[in-house]
Amino acid sequence: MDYCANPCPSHATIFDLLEGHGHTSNCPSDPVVTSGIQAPTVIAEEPSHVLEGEGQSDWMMWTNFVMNLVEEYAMAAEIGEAEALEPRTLAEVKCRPDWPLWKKAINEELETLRQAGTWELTEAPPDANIVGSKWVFCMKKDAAGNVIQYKARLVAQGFSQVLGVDYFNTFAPVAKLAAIQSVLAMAAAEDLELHQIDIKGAYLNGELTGREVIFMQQPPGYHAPGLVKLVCRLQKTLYGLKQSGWHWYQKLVEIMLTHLGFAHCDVDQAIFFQREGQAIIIVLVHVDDCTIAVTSITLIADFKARISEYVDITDLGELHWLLGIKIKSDQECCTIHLSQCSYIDSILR
Amino acid sequence: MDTNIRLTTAQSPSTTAEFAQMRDVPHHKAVGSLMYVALGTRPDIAFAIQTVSRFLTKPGLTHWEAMKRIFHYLKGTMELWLTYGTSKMDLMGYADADGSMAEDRHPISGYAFLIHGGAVSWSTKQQEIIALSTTEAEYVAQHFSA
Repeated sequence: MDYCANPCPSHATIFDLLEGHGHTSNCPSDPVVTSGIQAPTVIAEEPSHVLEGEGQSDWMMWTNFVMNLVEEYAMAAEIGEAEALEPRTLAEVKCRPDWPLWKKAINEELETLRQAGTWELTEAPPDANIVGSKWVFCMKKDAAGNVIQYKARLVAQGFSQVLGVDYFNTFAPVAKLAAIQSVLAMAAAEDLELHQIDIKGAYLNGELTGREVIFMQQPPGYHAPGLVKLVCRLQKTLYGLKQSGWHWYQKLVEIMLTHLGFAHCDVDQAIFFQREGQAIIIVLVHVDDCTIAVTSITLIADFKARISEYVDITDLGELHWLLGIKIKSDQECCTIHLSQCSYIDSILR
Repeated sequence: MDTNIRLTTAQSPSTTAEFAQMRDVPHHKAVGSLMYVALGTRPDIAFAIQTVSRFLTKPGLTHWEAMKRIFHYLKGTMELWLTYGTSKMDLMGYADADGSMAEDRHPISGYAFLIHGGAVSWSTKQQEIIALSTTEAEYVAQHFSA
């Protein structure tokens, strides 16, 4: 078997992609999404070139070029269909037929940020470094590839921040793989329940300290009416800022240690645990993915209720996937199995 | 990895033709993508990955063949799972070193720690020193695992 060969794209998909059909949104009331926006624009210029074309060789070169292009697009489509079809800028999203859905997503995001008190509008001092802001759009899909959610996120363009002026620490601990495996091994031996939760918009919870004064431009296209000249002074972290990861971790430590009464694990700072007599709760944190190992199922529900007082969570139920590793537990034999078969499968292709 | 084939730097390309042959081979990428598998759930390929990753800058055809052999092995054993909770042995640790078999005479140490029969931490690494005896290599391996 030849592993280094290019994946051979099926031609039917390519032409579907190029002609802009075959990929539609599944929202019933929604018009057909103009997919393949990037692909056909290049192809569209092609006829004029052919008319000017001087000879056969030119045409051959062009065909080769188009075929390469087609293969590239097909590959891109296979790798990340969603990425290729998602709009990149606000101007682009406004031209699309599904703009109302995006608009709704943007308004939701702005509302979340407003409720969280992410910034206050002020006048920027003349010499302040003003960080840009940008919208990022994403279509969330289910396993079958149907669009389930339109998502818009406001991000700060943290690349203009200066170390020691705008930000200090940028690191955040995550649980070590060996630590995760040890907890799983312990869970198998002690017959613990394994559950998983995801923290929604984790970085938006981080709070900036008094010495980090960050000014950000108002969200593009959504300036406060009449206050166009003002800028946002950030109170909380946003996605894209250099220090967001650090502040989120600090916030998490504060929640876990002071509010929920957990203790830090001595060897791994991203592991928290709590003991109540025979019962024990262990929480492994990987940025916003929390894996919970507990002795009884009632404690899980209790923990989820307690943590959701402080942050928004998505309950993912029992643990099946962790960092691309598939996890299967066998209640009868009290064993836990780990496998990366789908990762192996994806790299074998 | 084929046990009969010794990988050395002598197998790296030396002529222009050999370099041209290896130009488009994604050896680097292949090692990188297998590294996560070796770290995550497959201690059995840790040594093989350690061996092929020593030739990242100048991979030759023999090295690439060895790489493909690992892929073949993985394809055949995709259904293997790392299992925890099969026995009640509590924590066990193993450490060892090889007998300086590599061409540069650096020994390779390895360790694995098992909790209740399931491996939780493992590693294979070339030692920094050239050991004067296998005993010395073993000591270094013990220290590495500690």
